[in-house]
Amino acid sequence: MECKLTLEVFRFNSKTDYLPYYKKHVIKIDVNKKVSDLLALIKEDEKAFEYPVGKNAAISINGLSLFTSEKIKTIKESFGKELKLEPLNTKRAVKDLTINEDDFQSKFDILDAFVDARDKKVYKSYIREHYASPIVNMDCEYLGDALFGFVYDMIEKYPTRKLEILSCISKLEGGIWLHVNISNTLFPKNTALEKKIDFLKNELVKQATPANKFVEVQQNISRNF
Amino acid sequence: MNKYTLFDNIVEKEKAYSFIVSAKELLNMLGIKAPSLGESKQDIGAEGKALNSEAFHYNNAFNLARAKKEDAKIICVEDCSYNSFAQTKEALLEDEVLKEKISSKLKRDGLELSLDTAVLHVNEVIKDVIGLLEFKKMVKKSFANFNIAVFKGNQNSDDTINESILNILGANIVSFDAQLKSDGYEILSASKELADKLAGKVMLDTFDNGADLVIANDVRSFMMFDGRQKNLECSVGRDINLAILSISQIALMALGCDDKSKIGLESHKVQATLL
Repeated sequence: MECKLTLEVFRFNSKTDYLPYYKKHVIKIDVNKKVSDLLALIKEDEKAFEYPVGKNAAISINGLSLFTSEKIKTIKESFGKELKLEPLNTKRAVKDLTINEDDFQSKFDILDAFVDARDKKVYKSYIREHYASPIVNMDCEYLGDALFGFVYDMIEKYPTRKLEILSCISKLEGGIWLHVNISNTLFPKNTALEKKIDFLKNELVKQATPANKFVEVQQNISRNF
Repeated sequence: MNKYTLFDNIVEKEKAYSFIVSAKELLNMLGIKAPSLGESKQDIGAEGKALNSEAFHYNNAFNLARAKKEDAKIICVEDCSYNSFAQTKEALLEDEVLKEKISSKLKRDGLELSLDTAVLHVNEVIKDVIGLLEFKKMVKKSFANFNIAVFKGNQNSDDTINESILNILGANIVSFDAQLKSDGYEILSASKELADKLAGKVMLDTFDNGADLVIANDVRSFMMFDGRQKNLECSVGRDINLAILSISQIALMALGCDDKSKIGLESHKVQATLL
C-alpha cells in the first residue's frame, strides 16, 4: 500500500554553503519500504542529494535518531505523514544528511588496547546513540554514549579486563558521569543503553579504591541510600 | 471500594513540596481519600539507581509491600516516583536473582514482596478514577487564553493524559523541539554548567514558541526549571521568567481553588500570575 509523505529535507554543502536550508518534497512510497528507500527516491529527484548508506546508516526524523532500515509503515504510524529529515548531528553536516564522523571514530581508540580490532563493528553499531546525546555538542572531551555502551559489551566479552576498561570512562571531565538519558530521543524508544550505563556506574561506585574524588563522593552518597 | 495511599517520600522533597501539597488538595477536592504511605522509604530516582540499583529497587519494593499490607493502591504525586515503581516492577519480573534477594530482605522487615500493587499517577486519578467527562463537569475556570508547554523529557510512557486534561481546560498546547530532551538534573552533581545549559535550552525553546507557562510533572525537572531558573537565565544569556506548574496545580485552579498555599505556589521561585 502506498502513502504520500510531505518531507522537509535538510540540505547543506559544507564546501559552499554558509547556512543550511530545508527543501520540501512530496513523495509517494510503499509503506513496506524502508527509510533508505525513501532517501533513494529523494536522490532520484535530486541527483546531488547525499545521505548515509550501509549497515549502520542513521539519520534524524522529527528530532529522533533512527537507523534508515526502519520501515516506512512504522515511521508513518509514529510520526504521521509530515516528516523533517535531518542528519544525526546538524552541526557536523558535510553534505545534506551525511556527517563528519571523525569524533565518533576516534573515541574507539580509547579502548583499542583492550579489545580486538574486529570489535570495532560493535562500536560502530552505536553511532545513533553517540549523536543522540546533546553532550557531544557541548563538551568536545565527552567520550560519548557509544563508547559507554561499547565498554559494557567489552566487559561482558573480556571480563578479566573489567577494571582496566572501566578506568577508561571513570574520569569526571568527559567521562560517564556526564551521560544524560537519551532513551526518549531514540526511535524506537530504547532503554537498553541506560541499563548498561547504570550497570557501569554501579560497578565504578562498588570499587574498593575509588577512581577519583568524584567517584568517592558518589560512593558516600550511595552508602546512605 | 478502592483504598488509596499517597506516596510523598519523593526526590528533592523539601524543594518540591508543592507537588505534595497540590496533589493532596486535588485529591481532597475530587473526594478521594489518600493518606500518606506510612513508614515509607525514599524514592532515590534514576540518579540513585545509577549509583546503587539494589537500594533503589529495595526502597521501591518496600513501599509496594507496605501499600499491599494496607491493601491500598499507591498514588504518585509526580513522574519520578511513578517511573521508579514501574522500573522496579519490571526489573524484579526480569531478574529472578534480584527478586529473591529483595524478597528475603523484605521478609526480614516483616513484609512480603508484591509486584501487583497498583500504582497510579495523580493524573491517572483524574482520567481513570474520576473520568475525563466527569472532571470536565467540575471545571470552573477555563485556560483558553493560555499557551501551555508540556515538558516530557523524563516521561517513560507515551501517554497523552497531560494533553487530554489541558484540552478539557481549553488551553492551547504549545509544541516545541526540546520537549523530550534532558532537563540536565542527572548531571547536576558532575557539571552545574552543562546541566544549566541543557535546562536553559529547554526553557528558551518553550519561551521562543510562545509559552505562557510550562508543565513539568517531574520533581527533578521542576527543580531545574523553577529552582534554578536564575542560573538558567545566566547560562543562556536571556530572561526567561516562566512559571513552572504541575498538572495537579493547573487542575486545582481549574476546579476553582485560588488559595496559593493549597496550590503550593508559595514555595515556587518563579511566581505564577494566573491567580
